[in-house]
Amino acid sequence: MTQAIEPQETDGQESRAPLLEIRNLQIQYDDSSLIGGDPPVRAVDGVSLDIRRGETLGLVGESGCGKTTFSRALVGLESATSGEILVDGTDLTELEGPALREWQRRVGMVFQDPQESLNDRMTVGEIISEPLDAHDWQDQEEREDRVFELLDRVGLQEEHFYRYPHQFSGGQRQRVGIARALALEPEFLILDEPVSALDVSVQARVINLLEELQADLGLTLLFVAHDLSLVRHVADRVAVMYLGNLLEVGRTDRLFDAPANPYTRSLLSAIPGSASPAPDELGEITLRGTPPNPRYPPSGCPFATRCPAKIPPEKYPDLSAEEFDAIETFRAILRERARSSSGVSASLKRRLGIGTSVRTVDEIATELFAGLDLPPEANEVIEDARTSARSDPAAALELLRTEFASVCDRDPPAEYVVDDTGRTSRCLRHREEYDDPDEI
Amino acid sequence: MATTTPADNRRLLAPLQDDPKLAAWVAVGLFLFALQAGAVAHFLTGLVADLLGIFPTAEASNSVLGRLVGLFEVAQRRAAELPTLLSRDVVPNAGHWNGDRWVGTFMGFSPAVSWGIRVTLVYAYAFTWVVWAVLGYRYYREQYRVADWTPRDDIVDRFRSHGWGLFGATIVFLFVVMVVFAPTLGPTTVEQNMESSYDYETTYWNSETEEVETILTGEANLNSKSTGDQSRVMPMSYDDFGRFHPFGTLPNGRDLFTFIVAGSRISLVIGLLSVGLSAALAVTLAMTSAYYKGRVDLGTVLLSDAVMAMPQLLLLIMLITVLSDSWVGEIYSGGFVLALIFAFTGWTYMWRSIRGPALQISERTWIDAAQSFGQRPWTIMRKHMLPYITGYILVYGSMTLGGAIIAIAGLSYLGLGVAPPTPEWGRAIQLGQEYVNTGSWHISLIPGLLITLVVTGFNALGDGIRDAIDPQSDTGTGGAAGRGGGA
Repeated sequence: MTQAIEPQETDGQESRAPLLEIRNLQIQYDDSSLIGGDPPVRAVDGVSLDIRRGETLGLVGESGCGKTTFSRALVGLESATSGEILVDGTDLTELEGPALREWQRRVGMVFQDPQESLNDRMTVGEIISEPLDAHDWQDQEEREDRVFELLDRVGLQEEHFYRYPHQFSGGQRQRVGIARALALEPEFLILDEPVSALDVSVQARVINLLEELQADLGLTLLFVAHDLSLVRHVADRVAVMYLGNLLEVGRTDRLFDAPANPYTRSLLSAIPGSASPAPDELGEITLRGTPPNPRYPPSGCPFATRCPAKIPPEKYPDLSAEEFDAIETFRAILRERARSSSGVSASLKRRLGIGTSVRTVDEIATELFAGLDLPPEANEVIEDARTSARSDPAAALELLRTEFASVCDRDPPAEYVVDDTGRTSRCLRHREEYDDPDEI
Repeated sequence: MATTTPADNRRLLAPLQDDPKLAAWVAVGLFLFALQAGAVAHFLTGLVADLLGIFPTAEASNSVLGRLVGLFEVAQRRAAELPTLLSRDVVPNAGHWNGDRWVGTFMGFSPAVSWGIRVTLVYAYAFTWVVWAVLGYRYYREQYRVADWTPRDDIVDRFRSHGWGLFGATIVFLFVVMVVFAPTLGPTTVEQNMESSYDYETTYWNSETEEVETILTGEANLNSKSTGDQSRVMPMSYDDFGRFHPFGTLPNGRDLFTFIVAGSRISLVIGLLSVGLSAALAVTLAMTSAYYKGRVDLGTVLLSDAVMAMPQLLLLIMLITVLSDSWVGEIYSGGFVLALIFAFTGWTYMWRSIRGPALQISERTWIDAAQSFGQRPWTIMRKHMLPYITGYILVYGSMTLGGAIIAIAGLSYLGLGVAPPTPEWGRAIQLGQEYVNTGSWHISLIPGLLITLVVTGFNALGDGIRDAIDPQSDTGTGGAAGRGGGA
């Protein structure tokens, strides 16, 4: 879709006016009951991003990283906890009632699952004309003409007007969803995984339709996806999200050719096959553990718990890669144990000696540290941690944290500009004193 | 039909000109209506007059309301003069034997046969309407509906092959026709036989004097009591005054069949009113609490729990007693208050049952989609949630209706609720109670059987609708069983 952009702006994409300026957006879910409860879930945790007119911005990340929540916030389906979303100087997060409806008129949203997003008691005609009815768009006859025009636009036939969603294939249903999103002539289209529920053969056709529509109508697209090859194909710029944070934002070609952030690198390396868009020299990077619970995000870098390029602790600058890896894996295991063993029933079980988790932690530790020659002080701390892990994994974790914590565990990384196109990445390795991520 | 554009479809009368089948169908409908137009006009004008008469100020004849009431009463009398096919005048059964033949009955048949002909005509007429409607629906589906398939088609088709549901529908149909044509169906009327029986006379053949004599209806009743083994008028028999009693007589000599058809009206009206009110309340609250969730939902839960915690029967007895002398208590012989109390205490059960489905629907993505383009909350609830819960409302509504009929009968059995002399099924059972083990067993048995049959019919209809809407639903579970009445 790059070709749709270049003729309009001569001096590069960076000077294009932003349609949306998102500043430090935070979205938290507080589902605590009346009595105390847990800290809120931080679905989106301080995102700042510009979405420029006419561009296609790809938003990628693992499932559960907050990309859907983020995109829903842009149409007012989620309310922001703090931060702002600026459109022409107005803050969307403050809008209500008619003003919000006015904005919603300018945005269209296409949802992931076309089986779910169309009311199957309504005909396709009713579904597509509903946005028009909701905004009292002209009169009845013109609305009908508009629906026929939209059906044609998305590659459906006139007689589909009176059919029900049940009678369509997944791809056709998604076309109906796109037609509905386009009904009010929006300037901005949010596509929340628009093709991930479709067959591969159908995906390509829907993607082509979206590209055509963008070229014809000059739309701005936010393309949320977890399929990186697809994003590389459609997006002008890509934003990589992890645990509610944007770790890297930049031009698609640059980001895919030379990923700056360790997370982007591991994502790209995980794409299988010879057609993988990852640079060739990138070996396969396996991430340890699972993403942290967004209710209890790490205090430093959000990716610190799994990062393959984590900076070693200051106290032990000479740890070998294997030794550091073993310690980090041990911490990751303890973290998961601690998470599952909080709560009344778990502590009761522990007291009664039911359950075997304590033994397995010990076994894993033995396995992890076998054949490693750790410094004596480090070994001592690990032995202590193994002992206390039997009764209290949280305490063992704290012990390891004070001893082996590195700068990544403490300081949230700032945004660093990493190339001449203005690509940004959040990683402490971009600081002067450390080696760059790609050198690890 | 692919060439038809939606705008063309809106010319309403055009199809009549170029589709003789449709024109014939409309003509048949108009003809059927014309047969009973007088009765419809009579009913409507009477209804308006009664509604206006509810307000206390209408009693003063010089008030605006009072004049309006008068106006509609005159209109009602006029409407009564319009000819109708199914009236007691066209097919009369009240005649007498003059020694060698029947006088005053339909074409000289016996009163029993005349009455039978009238009942048959009524049901044939009602059945014709049903056939007319079904044919119309089919024709519309084939010829006029542009969509060749809609989700509702599947529901209709499934219901059509659901035996138990069809049985329920038939019973409900028979019952509803009985309610609608109550004054026509009885061998006599409530006014002549019960309310002012001493203002009317009965002509009969006195077999002892071998002469035609007249007697006050009230006195005739006194001599046709069913009070045990010695004096009784059994079902499908004549009394000493040549009057035919399809269900026999009551202990006070009045006609049981007339009593029952008139009582069916009050049962269904109270039932429909209370179920309608509680369904409206339950649906509104269920959709609002499912859509907004959180505190709104919590508030509704608390409210319904509070209402559920009230002892329903005690509340009923207390309110009926307190309100019995007020103007609200007098509307419809106390039936209106009953309906209000049933609605107020009954919506919680219905709300509980549809809250789950409503919450489920509110999680669907198409609600998000509608919100994303700025659809208004009420429209979202109406267009995207209501169609998915109407099925549940029909199911629970038809089952609750059965419960309400039982409850009303139960209350009148206890001497509460609908005030005498307004006929009510429960009172018939109560009147016949002491004769159950005598020869006059029919007084309690017949209304008892009818209540069971009608309630079973409504429950069967509910079952059928549920299975039609959701073929996967497990018919074995009692989750949707109606509540078994308050008394």
